[in-house]
Amino acid sequence: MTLGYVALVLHAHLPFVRHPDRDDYLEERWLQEAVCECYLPLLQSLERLRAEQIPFRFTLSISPTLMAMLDDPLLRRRTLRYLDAGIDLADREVRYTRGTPVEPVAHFYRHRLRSLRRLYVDSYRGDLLGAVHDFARSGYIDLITCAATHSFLPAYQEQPAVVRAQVQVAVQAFQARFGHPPRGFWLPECGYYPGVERFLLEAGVQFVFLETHGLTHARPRPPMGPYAHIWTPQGLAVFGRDPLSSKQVWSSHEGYPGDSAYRDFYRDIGFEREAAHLGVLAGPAGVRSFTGFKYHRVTGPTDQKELYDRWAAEQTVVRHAAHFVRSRVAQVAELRGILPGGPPPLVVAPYDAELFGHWWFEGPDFLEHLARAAIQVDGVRFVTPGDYIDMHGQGQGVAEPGYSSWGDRGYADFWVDGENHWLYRHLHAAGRSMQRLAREPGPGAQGLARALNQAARELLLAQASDWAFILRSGTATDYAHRRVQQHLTRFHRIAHAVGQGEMPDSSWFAAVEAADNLFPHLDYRVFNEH
Amino acid sequence: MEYVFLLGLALFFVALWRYFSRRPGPRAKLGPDGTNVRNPETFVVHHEGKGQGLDIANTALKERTEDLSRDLPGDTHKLKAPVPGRDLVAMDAPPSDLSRYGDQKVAPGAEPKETVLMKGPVGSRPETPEEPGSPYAKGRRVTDIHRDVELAAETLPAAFEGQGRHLDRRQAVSPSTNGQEPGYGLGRTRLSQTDGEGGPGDPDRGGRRAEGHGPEDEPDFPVEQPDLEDDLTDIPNGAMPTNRQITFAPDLELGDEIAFQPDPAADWAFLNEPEPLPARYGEDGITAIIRNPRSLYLYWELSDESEARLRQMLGPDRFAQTICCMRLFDIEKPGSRTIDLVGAHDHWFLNDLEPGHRYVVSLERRTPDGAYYLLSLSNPVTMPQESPAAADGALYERLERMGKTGSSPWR
Repeated sequence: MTLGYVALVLHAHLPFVRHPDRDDYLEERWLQEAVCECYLPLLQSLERLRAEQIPFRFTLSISPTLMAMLDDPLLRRRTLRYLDAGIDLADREVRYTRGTPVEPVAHFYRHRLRSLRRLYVDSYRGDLLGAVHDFARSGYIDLITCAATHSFLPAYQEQPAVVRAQVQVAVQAFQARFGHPPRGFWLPECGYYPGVERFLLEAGVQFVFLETHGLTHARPRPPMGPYAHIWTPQGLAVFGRDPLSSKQVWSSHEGYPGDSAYRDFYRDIGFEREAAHLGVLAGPAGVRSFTGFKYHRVTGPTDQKELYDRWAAEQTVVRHAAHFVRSRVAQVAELRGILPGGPPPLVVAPYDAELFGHWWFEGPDFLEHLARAAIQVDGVRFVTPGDYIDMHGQGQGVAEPGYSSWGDRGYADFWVDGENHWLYRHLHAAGRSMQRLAREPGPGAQGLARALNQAARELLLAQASDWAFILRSGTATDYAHRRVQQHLTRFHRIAHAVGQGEMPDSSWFAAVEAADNLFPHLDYRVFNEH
Repeated sequence: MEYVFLLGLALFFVALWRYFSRRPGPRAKLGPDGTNVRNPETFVVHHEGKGQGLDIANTALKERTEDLSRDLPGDTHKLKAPVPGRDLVAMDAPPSDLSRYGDQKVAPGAEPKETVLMKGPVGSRPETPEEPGSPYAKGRRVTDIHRDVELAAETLPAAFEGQGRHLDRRQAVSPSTNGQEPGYGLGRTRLSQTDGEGGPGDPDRGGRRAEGHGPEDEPDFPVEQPDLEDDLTDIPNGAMPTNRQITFAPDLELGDEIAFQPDPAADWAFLNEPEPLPARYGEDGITAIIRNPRSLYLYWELSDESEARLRQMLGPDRFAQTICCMRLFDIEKPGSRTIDLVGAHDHWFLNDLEPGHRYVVSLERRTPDGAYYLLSLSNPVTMPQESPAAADGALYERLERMGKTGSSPWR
């Protein structure tokens, strides 16, 4: 008997890190690492499930910037080169470690990278979105989208045209790629403010996800808390994140990824071997960087890490997946006890897709074994929020959700902070300028549409929440600072030229277009709120 | 004498074994890929005696690895020829850092000297004929960036099949066709020239099959469009396809724009010179952004004109006596909170606000006699709620406790 449901939601997002000028940007490796460590292994797991006819169902949100990068030929080639460089390094590692206890792990990496390359090249022809779409058609994935450049929408509460553009551009990009509009929408950083639903409903979106207190702090109080959706007064379905399942996976201390058998993330041969040995995977200009070759396991709170034992890690994954499913069964059973009479509870478990594979190396295997464990129990079924709405449409009735995000402390502190607050002055000014241009483009606007479209692209790129996030967390602040500055400078330069009724300098503009080439369908008039 | 003979025989066999195995050192219990959990071989390993199990595991692992290193259709990297300057000279160095792996001490330089790192040319395959025209022939620099373009082009002949159609589609929507063409040939422009003449993407121009892999070596990975109806019926309980109409997306191919050559850095250089952002935009305004239920972030800009207007209105002397201040109004309460802005502030983090209240903030100039002159008024903000609405506490407490502590018996 099905006591309740689980909705697993993976949110895949990377900022637009396409740099045609050079091929040694470490930031561009974010994409290549994500493809090799997260997306391909995940697809590989799904391929195994499909081959064995094991059913599974989850929601995958792919941000429009990530979609643009996965479809970009230049980045596909660079990803392939990265994979090849990894295989080259694996070959060298196998020779280098021959006869040592590390050798089997080096063999493991070589085998893994080769099989991923086969998948990427022979099976998918580099088209990961096509593969994902294929799984969506097979019923494994429900695809949804996210704001155009993953902008933290509550920070633009006073610029409705910007919020509208972020939503509309994303939905249009999704429709153009997958042939149908997205049913759900991932609010970047789960950032919700009362009023954003207007733009989502306008774009045909049916449901969104909020942090737990977005629902528990709703007015009036939803009787089931986050365990079933509520409807906003305007008619948008809102799901809340389950804190327990989230902690089981997210937490580095109590969560599964911290288990001693799993691969350790930090100890990487990129910091141990000679640059000549690392080859292409050595960082540019002598900078040390991660290569993805890590030979040790978490072991425990010690610096003396033991060797990675793949077999033990796989056994642990099986155990953890079974534990996760059993925990959900127990949870929904308990919820049924607490909440008699309501619809069957739905446990919404959203995670960053990049957690599985990059941070938690065995994550994609965990998801695979989740499917294997799920078919052995009757208590819960894995569904998507859309399925749940179809089955139990009423949910918990109508309530006004509360302002929330899944950032630190649950609101906007992380994105509006001493380190990054200066962004908003410039982003808002550019937003106002873009609205003016969209409203009153001036004489000759017809011929300037191309420039205005590019201005809109630059503005959207500058609005990514990633820059605020990076500035706040202090990791690659120079890069984030430079990116915001670049996009806003490009925006103002185009806006200034258009204000004069002319096109910007042609060679400069062509280079800008070629560099920031996402959203080919973008129409700048999306910024015109009227 | 017999003992000496037997000893010699034993030594001979040991040497033979060493030669053929070439994989000295202890084995870890390791599966070579993510599938071996379901592999009975590996299960046997751990249910039988330890030594025997390890042997089986070793054999299985070795066979698999050797299988892998044999004919992998996708592994064109195996075909690479030695590259000047890229010989693994550094590999001969003693692996001094290996002694740190785990508890097992490896004497630096002991084993690796025995393992013949490079018998033939680095990375070459003896069974692969090195054709003069092959991209993997001697003398080519693997590190050359163009290698990748060619590699991709030759590895993926089928990727070009839909190229023309695809390019047409992209060009129809690309901004570069809205007006004039880009000033110089990047990407799309250049591709459109090579597209028609079966350029690098032409399947007949020599793909992977021409490199010594017989068709029988290649497992077939049919990239077929699954029948939607089959999927609907084949996927049992759990994988429930939505009943929405599904449209097939246009193909985007890996080979698209394959002729793109990275332009010289000089062409891009001016894109990477960020100019400083303007310090002022010449606008009057104060904006409030919610940080949390008790905190707001405010930033503002005052144009010279607005201050000049006020100066004109008050007269220079009286204006000089005013100070800039910020006033916070709680829309639900009378009165206001005043914060004097001494110095050149342009932003403020305002704390200690009431959750759920509605505020508006004004930027004003205050005279010594207590008169205020409005310069700008912020957007009104409604602070978020900090706690659940008060009702049926017991049930919610249980729910929240469950969320926080996880009262599940499985934990």
